Amino acid sequence: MNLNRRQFSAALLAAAAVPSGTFAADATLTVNKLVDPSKLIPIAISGFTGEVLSTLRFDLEVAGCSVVSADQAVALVHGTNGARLEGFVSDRAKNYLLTKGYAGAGARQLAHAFADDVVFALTRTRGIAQTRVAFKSKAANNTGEIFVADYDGHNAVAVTRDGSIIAAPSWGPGSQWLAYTSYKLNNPDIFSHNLVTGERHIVARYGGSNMSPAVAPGGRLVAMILSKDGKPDLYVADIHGRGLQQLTRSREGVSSPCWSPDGQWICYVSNDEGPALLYRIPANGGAPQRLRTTGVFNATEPDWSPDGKSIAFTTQGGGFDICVVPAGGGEVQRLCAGQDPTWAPNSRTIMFCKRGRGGPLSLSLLDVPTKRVKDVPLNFGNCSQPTWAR
Amino acid sequence: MNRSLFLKFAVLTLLSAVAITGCKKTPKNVTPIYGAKTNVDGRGGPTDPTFPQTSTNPRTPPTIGPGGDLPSTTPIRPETFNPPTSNPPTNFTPTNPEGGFRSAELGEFEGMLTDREALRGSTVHFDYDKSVVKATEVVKLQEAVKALKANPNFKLLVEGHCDERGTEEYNRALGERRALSVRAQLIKSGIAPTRLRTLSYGEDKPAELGHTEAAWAKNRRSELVLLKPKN
Repeated sequence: MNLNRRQFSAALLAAAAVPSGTFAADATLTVNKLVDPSKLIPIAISGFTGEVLSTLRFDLEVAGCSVVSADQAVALVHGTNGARLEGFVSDRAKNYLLTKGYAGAGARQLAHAFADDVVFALTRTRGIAQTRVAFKSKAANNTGEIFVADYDGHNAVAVTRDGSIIAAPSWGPGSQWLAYTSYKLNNPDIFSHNLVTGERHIVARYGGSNMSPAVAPGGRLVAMILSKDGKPDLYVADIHGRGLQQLTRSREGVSSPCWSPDGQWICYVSNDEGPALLYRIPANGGAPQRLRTTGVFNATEPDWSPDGKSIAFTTQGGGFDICVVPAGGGEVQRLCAGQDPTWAPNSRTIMFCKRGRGGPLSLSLLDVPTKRVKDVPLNFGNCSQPTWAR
Repeated sequence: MNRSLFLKFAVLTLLSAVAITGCKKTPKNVTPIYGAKTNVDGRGGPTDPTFPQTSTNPRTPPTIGPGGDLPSTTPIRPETFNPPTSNPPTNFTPTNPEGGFRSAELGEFEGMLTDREALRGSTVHFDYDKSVVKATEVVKLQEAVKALKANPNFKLLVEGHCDERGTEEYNRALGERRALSVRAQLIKSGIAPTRLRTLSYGEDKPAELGHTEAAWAKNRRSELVLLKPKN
């Protein structure tokens, strides 16, 4: 089978249009394997060493590749690493999809940059290997700090040093703003925090609890749960806390809001009908609508995918499960055990929190179409409540 | 002649440089926060945030600056607060249509001494995923009612807690609902809403560590903390 580069990538893209004549039977098979996102892409990695190899392998496995021997792979990822990283992607007949050199950064960054290019060459979707996440790390005395790290848990930096109970970091999509709940002033209050300048503002410090902030796309607004009027209800204010507006007037109380990627809707959890269920409401006020979640009895901590198509959430039976449902409501798909999902910018990968019975809280990555889970190697305290920069 | 002019100029430049940079010192170990009434002691937080260049591409976030250390300017905005004031002492009417009572401002409770021991016996326990104060638990609140009626200048902090079954933010809201329903019981017993403050810890402050039903039952609770004036 002699595919040239253009034919090979065209074949990867278009499964339905299998060209006849020159293509052998196994070429058709290869093509089908690659375009079905629920199937792992078998690849072989050669030539790389040390941290570059381990970083690259982790990135590609999270992206839905499985690393196999060269004779079983449909794509060969090879190259060299020294001060400069040279990377190639080809099929087994040595038709090249990618040849590129990388320099001017540490080994991990070079490997991440190459991994993103490999993912794009194979799937024509943008990789997530160079993205970052924020999360909460909790010590034994219940106090915690907010950390920002690479999506694989490396290069973690503490962005707070308050030594108090802290919770629910939310990274505003496309912005440098983080919001979180801190007990620093002896009450659960909501702070906004600019990650570039380090400036902080009090968004909400009202009587009662001020909880679960969600920064809107663009970072201008914050949705949050306040109990100042007698029930935990949904409110929206700007990132400095000005112009507070109450959106819900619930009987039983609401929790954990998230924004639609266009900023028009807020999805949240309400107990008004007994069990915790998902609702959505226009962000500038209006009537709440129940979101059907067929197949589960309760739903908490929703997160709307950046492509707007689905909502990930946690359901609870004996343990916690990560689920997804179409953004308009409908049949629920259970994915794996875990809680508090956050979508990656590619609307395909999810980071979530795993809780071993009695064990510490830790973070894991889930590739939604293949349902494959990979743990994030972090070695400090209980890590939970991830929020992806997107 | 030229030389002395140059010297004068140099001294002037040096002085102005000192004047400009010298005034910008931020006190160490203090984390002032916009909107807070007072500066709050931090624990050695970084005091000199760096200002890396802003990236316009959200996919490549710039260097992360350390957490906020900026001068406090404005006081807390009390904006939308109408604390219920002139209510009759025993019969309170809800201040919003859903039957809830507005919270008093946090400033009303500032500087009061906390006594966690006085009402230790009044800790109320709840059923799984419920915020209703059971009839068997209501009697535990009598001690708190007595203490508040005997000392009109005492106030009360009602804390809500959850077991670890439940997602973190769901539990934070559930804890608040528990604290609010204890507060509603106390209001029913004739305590003014303005004397009661609620706060939820969710599952962050378990009374007992452990992953058994016995431990969970102890953690689903509302603790009452007596607040006494300083003098």
